[in-house]
Amino acid sequence: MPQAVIASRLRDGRAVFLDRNGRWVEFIQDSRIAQSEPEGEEIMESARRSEERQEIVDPYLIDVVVDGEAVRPVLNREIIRAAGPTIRTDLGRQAKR
Amino acid sequence: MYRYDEFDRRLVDERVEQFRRQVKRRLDGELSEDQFKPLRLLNGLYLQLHAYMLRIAIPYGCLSAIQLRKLAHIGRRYDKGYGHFTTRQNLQFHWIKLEETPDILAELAEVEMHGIQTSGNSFRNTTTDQYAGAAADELEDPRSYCEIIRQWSTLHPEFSFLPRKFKIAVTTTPHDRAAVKVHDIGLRMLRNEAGENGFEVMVGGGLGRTPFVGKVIRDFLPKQHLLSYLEAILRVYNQLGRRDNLFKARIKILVQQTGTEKFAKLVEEEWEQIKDGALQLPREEIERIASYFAPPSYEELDAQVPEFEAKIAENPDFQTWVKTNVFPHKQPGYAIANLSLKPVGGTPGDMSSEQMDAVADLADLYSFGEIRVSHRQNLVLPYVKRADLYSLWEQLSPLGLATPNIGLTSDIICCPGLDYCGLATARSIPIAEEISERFDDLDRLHEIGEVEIKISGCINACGHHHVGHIGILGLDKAGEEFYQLTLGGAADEDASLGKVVGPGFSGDEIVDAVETVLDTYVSIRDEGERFIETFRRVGMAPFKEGLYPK
Repeated sequence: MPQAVIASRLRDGRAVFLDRNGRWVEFIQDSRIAQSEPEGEEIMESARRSEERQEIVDPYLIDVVVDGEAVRPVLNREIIRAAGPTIRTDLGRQAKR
Repeated sequence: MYRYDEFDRRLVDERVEQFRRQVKRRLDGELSEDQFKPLRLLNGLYLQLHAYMLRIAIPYGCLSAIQLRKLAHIGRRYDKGYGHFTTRQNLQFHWIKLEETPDILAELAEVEMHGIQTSGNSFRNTTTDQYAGAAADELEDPRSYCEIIRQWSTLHPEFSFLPRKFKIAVTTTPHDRAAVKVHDIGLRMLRNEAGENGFEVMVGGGLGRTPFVGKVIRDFLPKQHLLSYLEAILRVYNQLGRRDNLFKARIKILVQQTGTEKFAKLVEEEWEQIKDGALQLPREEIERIASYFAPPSYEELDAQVPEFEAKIAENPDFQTWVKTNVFPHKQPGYAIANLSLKPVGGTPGDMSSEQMDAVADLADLYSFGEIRVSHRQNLVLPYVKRADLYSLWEQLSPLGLATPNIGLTSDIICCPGLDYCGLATARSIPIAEEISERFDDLDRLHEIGEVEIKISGCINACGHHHVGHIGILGLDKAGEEFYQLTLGGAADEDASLGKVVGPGFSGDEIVDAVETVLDTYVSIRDEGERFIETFRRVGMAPFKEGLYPK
């Protein structure tokens, strides 16, 4: 299953995703998608180095479904992290796009 | 209200500057997350799903109008314009930035607030009756004892690294509104045959993964020995409590495994060593602390207030609000007004900055500038003249704070759940919102009467589901939200743990299940019988039959 890396940004705690350029971005659609286990390990390694540089906290791989340009996490927890609280759709990333 | 002395002021100011340095070192990369985490937790700062969460202590649920305005300001400036009152009478902000936290703590310190005692394996905010100082049925004001406990426990050197967190609750009324039986230590004030007030001491209550109702280990503790007895309990726990297993580290497990009688004996032996020492509370010291909680400058009023009675007679909506949201006061001509934070379709316990500012103004106008937070996630204005209730109600209504549902189906205790919390396994708020929408008909709500629904989004039970008349626990089952229903719990003087009714329900089914339970109750209750009384009379069977028809 395709995967992306999610983490919390150190300065503000916001959920962020690792993109193709090794930067942390706010929208999962902009994240780098690993299509294989080795590629997943590769992007996790990049995330761990970022964690050592104290840029982010607690990175981990999440399963995602890719449908065209849309990327959606599989688990409820990560769907909510990526979008924002389901009961306040005026907050979180969902309010920005 | 309690006001800081020089020690409190210095402690909080020093803590702010200490944390400012710690945050800088973290942001500069000098501290790893593992090193920083215990430091931030000492100041109430968690890292959750969307951002940092700052939990702010509201000691025993007492807030001044000035403090509430500061919380409104913090919500507006540093968060997203709202805060969430918790089941431990605290307030948390869910969208905090680490880099701004030292400034927030500095702002809080200006109004004698902080995040101490809101997290970590240490003492937590001592909680009590939200009607303290105003309730007609209290033996004494419990806030004095809560404050004495706060001063004793804050940064207590011997108990800075307890096996696990530790929660104490105090009640001084026969009807327990502080859920003392489900705390690590519950203190219930009693009067003995000699007419002296003292405490019944309960230990080992708690919710979470392994719930227990607290056990009485001392029937009557003279007030002057309060601290030495607490110290003896904590010493036994600190020495014998398990540190090898997070899930077995609370004092309730120690009491269970040791046995209540043996545990009590250990405490008594320890207490014998220290009871006559420095921790004795002289009457003068109790009175000194009590003086901070002296009654406000009440007017001498008649108990009968004709203009109030007239408004009740002419306005049915006001009458309904008075019936559910207004509580008798010890002072003639005054009342306790409950402000519901449970509007139809709203998040239980959430409050916008605008609402906070408005309530602060109303507290100044009608309640000597004081506000209380209840563990049921509502606010209270404790000193309102009965003659002012109508004006108050008129002003609360447009603010969305006059829902007449205190103690009814839609007055739901609810944790933040998976919408915010990193520990949660399912969402809880949408279930609460849907229940309140399902039961939005006031006639139906009042026809059902008093029932306590409590919802937790995980086994840690911040939503107190074990002690809900109807409890709902959200779990994850193969990636789907799934809700377990318990019936028969209670958190008052007749505390009991709810029992699982049967197989759980999907998110689409759980509100129907709650409705079935309530419809069953209405169809079988005796006249005037509350939900919990019916349940205790008939047991689980009729509810099961309604929920799982063959």
